[in-house]
Amino acid sequence: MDVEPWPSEWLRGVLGPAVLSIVAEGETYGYLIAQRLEQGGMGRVKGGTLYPLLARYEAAGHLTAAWHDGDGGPGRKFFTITDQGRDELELIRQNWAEFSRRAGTLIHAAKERHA
Amino acid sequence: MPDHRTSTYLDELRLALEIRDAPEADIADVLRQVESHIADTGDDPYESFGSPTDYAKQYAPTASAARFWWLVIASVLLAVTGAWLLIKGVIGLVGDEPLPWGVEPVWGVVAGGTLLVAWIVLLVAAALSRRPPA
Repeated sequence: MDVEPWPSEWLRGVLGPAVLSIVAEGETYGYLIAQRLEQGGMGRVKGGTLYPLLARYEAAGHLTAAWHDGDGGPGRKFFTITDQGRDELELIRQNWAEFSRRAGTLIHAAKERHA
Repeated sequence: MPDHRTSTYLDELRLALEIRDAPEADIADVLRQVESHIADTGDDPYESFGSPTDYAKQYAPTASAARFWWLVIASVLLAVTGAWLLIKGVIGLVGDEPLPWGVEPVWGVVAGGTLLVAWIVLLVAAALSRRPPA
């Protein structure tokens, strides 16, 4: 089923938790995060959306970042989740499961009523 | 080395961030992040990051352009008034004519020179304040 691109208002709510979850798997950098999001079915996330999000998590103390030099290039900025970030992710995961259940119930109930 | 289009984007983004008074360390980080992403993906920077002005707003959303415009206004006032006084003073000295209100021409030269020096000091101070600490 070809459902992409997802509506941007849906992605706004999902991207943050998804990015935090991807970084929680291990130290990584922007391009790999974008690839993981695409592989996970979120579509192609632009740099202009991804990097400000990472910067906000860094400023909030959920992520730390360090530049690794490249061979003659600009290098890559690697992100690592902090303990604070893991706590935030755990909270998001618990809340997301409940939110998703309630939203699904509402949406499908409305569909069944109109069937 | 970034290609011409990426270099142009980075220049425009730097200017947009400077005008919004973003700290130099943040500017360097944002520019390097864009360059790194473009090097990895080969994407067009305008397509991937949007207009430099809009992208800069995401990092410096509350900063205003007040500092920039104060610098422009102060520069115009100091440079124009300083040059006018200096020129009038020199002409007055050569022609042995007083300035308006009977002021001695030498004071026009001194005041004009002082204002021009103050203008240069202002520009140097503004440039130095943008540099990251050593």
